[in-house]
Amino acid sequence: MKMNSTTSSKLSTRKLVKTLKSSQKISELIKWYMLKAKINEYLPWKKSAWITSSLPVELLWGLNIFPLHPENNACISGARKVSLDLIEHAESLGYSRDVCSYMKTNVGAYDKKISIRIGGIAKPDFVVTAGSICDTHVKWFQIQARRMDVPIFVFDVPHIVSGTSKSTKIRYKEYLIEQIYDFFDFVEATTGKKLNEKYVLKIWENSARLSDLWQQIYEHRKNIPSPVGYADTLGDIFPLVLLPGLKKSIKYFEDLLKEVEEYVALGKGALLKEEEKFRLMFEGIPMWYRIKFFHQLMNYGAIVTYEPYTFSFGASRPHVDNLEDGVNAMAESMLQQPYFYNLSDRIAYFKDVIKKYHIDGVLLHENMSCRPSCTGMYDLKQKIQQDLGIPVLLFTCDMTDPRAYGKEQMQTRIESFMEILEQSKSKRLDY
Amino acid sequence: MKTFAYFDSTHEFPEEIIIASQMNPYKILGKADFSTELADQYIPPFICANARSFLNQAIEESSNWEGIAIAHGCDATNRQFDIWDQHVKTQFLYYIHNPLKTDGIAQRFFIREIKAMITALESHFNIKISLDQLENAIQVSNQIKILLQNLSKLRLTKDISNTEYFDVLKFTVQNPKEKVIPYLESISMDWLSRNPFPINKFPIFLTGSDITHSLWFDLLEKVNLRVVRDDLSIGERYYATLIPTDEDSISNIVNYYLNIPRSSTKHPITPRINYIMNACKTEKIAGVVSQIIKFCETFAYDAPFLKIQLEAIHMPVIHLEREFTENIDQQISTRLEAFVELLEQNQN
Repeated sequence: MKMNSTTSSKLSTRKLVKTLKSSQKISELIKWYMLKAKINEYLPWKKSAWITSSLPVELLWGLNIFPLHPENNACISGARKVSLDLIEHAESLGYSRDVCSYMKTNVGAYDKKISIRIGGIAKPDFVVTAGSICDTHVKWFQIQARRMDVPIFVFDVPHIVSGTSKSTKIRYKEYLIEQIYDFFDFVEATTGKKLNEKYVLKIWENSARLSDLWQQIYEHRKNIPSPVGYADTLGDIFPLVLLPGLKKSIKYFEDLLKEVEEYVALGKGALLKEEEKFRLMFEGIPMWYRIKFFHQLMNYGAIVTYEPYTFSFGASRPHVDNLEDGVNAMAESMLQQPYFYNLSDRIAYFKDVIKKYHIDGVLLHENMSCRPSCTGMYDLKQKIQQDLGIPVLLFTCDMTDPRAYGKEQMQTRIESFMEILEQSKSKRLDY
Repeated sequence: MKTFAYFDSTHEFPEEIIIASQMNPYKILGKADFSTELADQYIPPFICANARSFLNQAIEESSNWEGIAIAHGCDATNRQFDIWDQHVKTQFLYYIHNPLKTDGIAQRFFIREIKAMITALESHFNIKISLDQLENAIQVSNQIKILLQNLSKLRLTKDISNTEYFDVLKFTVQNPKEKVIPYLESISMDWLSRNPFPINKFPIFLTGSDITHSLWFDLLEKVNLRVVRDDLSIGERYYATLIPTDEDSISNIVNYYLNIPRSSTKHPITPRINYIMNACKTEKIAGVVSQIIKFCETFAYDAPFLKIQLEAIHMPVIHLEREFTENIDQQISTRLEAFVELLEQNQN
C-alpha cells in the first residue's frame, strides 16, 4: 500500500494525544518535588545527593538524603527545548561532540544556574553513581564531583554477560552487598546521616507497592486497544525514578491504574479500537526534545505499547521485612535490569514481550548518547525479524541533542516503516 | 606453544595465569590492515573502532587460539562480550571483571574472580595451575617488565624512533614469553649503541586511548615529536610497576593490577593525572600529546581536565581525536605541525 498525500504529512501535523486524565496530575508531583528540592537548598541541615539511573534511589530516602537526579533534569531541559544551549556550553569547555548529551546538558545546566523548572540542579552534599549502564555515569560524576568539590561514591557493578554462571552471579551479588554497606558508612562519614532501618523498610514496602501498581498498568497494556501509550508513560515514570517510597506516588499510580481499568472495561484505548492499527515496542530513551513524535505516531494508527526503558524503572521489587533481605534485593536489582540486559537475555525478553503484547513492529532508537544500549541492536533486529517476522526500524538519533534529529529523514523513514507494517500485518493475518 | 587470546580495554587481563597454564597470552590488537568489515555487521560505526577491529580479527583468526578471555575495562568489553559469544567461533570464551576501584572490597573480589578463572581454565583444559607455576609466571613477567623499564629509559637519551618502541611493546604482548626475553635482551644491546637523542626532536609525553598500529607513531615522528614517556597500555602501563612478591601469588597479581598506572576507565582519576604530571615535572618533557580514537568516551571525558592541569604548570598540550584509518589525517598532521611550532617558540 502506498501512503497518500494526507498520510505523508502525519509526522509533522500538530495533533497531540493525551489519553489519561490521571496522568495530568503528574505535574502536581513534579511541583511538589521541585519545591522540596528548593527548600533543601536553603536548609543546611538537609542533605542531598546526585544519583544516576540503575541505582536504587530508595537507599537515599532511607538515609534521609534528598535525591537529585541529573538525568531526570536533563530530560526536562530536553523537553523544554533548552538542552542545545547547555550542550554547546559544555562543548565550549572541551567536551567532545561525541560524548553523552545528558552529561553535557547537566554541565551546562549547573554552570548556567538555570531554573529547576527547565532542568536546573543544585549542588549536592555528595554524588553517587555506578557503571552498570555505562562508563559515562562514572566519568560524568567524577567530573562534576571534582568541579563542585563534593565527595563521590562509585558502585562497581560487574556485568552479567551471556552465559554467566549461577556461582558467578552469587559472587557478584556478594560484592555489591559489601559495597552497599560501605556506602552506608560513606554517607554517615560524609553527612552524619545514619540508616534508619524502620524507615528504610517502610520505603521499600512503598516502593514494592509502587512497582506492583506499575506492573499492573503494564499488564493492561496487553489489551487491544492499549489504554496507555508512551506519550503517557514517559512522564508517568517520574515517581519511580525519584519518589518510589512515598505514599503520594502510590496514590498517583492507584488513580492511574483505576482509570486504566475503567478504559479496559469499556474497551477504550489511547486510540479507538478501530483506529489502533499497529502496536509498537520502543527500545531506548526517547528524544526528549521531540516528545510529540510519540503523539504523532498515533496519526498513523500506531501506538507504542511497551518500552523496556519505562518498564525498567518499575521492575519487580520484592516485599522485604528486614534490612538484610532489602540490601540483598537492592544488590540483585543493581545487577539485572531490562535496560542493560545482556544480548541473549535481551533477545529472549523482546521475543516474550512481542508475543504477550501483540506487537506489530519494533522501533530501536540507536541513541548516539547511549552507545552501550546500541551495542547488540543489529543482532537484536535480525533475531526479531528472522525468528518472529516482525518488522524493525532502527534509527539513529539522540536523547537530548536535537542536532541529531533529522526531521525530514525521520518522516520518510517512519512513513516507509508504516507501509512495511501494513504489508507485514496483512501477511500475518492472511496466514 | 598454544595461544590463548584476550581482549582488554587497557591492561586488565591477568596474563600471568595464562603463562602459568603453559600457554601464550596473546593480546588482540586487530589486524595490520585496519579491517573492521566483518565486525561492522554487528557493531555500529559510532562505537570505538579499536574494539571493532579486535572483533574482526577474532572472527577471522579464532581457530588459531585455544580460547579467548575478555577482561572488563570499558563499555566495549562487557557489552561486546555477547556479540563475541554469538559470532566468534571458540571452545572457550571467558569474562573476568577487573574492578573499577582499588579498595579492600575490590581487592577481595578480584582475588575471587581470579580464582574462579583459574578453576574454569583448569576444568576446560584439564590442567592444574599450581602455586609454583604462578610464582614462576610472576618471575617471568617481572623479568620482562624490568627489561622494558630499562629500554624505556633509553628513549630519553638515545635515538629510538616512536615506531621502534611501539613494535617492541607489540611483540611483547603477543608472543610467547620465552621468545620475548631474548628478543628484549637483543633490542637492549642495539638501543644502548644508538646515537644520542636527536637535537631536532621534541621529547613528548603521549597519553590517551591505546594506539594499536604504528602509523600514528610514524606521524608523530614525521613532525619531530618523539615519545619519551607515555601511560598507554601498550606502553608504560604494561611495565612501569612490578608484580609484588611479598604475599601469595594470587594476592600479588591482584595487587599488581590494582596498582599499575591507572587508565581513564578506572576510579578515581587522580592517580592517572598524577602519573602524567609527575612525568612532566621530573623528566625533560617539551609537551604532551593527548589523543583519543574517535568515540573512546572515557578518555574523552578526562581530556578537558587534563588540559587544564597541564596548562597550570605551563606544559604545552594538544588534544586530538583521531579516526581509525590507514591514511594519515592531514588535518591532524597540520595541527601537530602547529604544536611543534609552539614548542619551537618555547625552546627559543
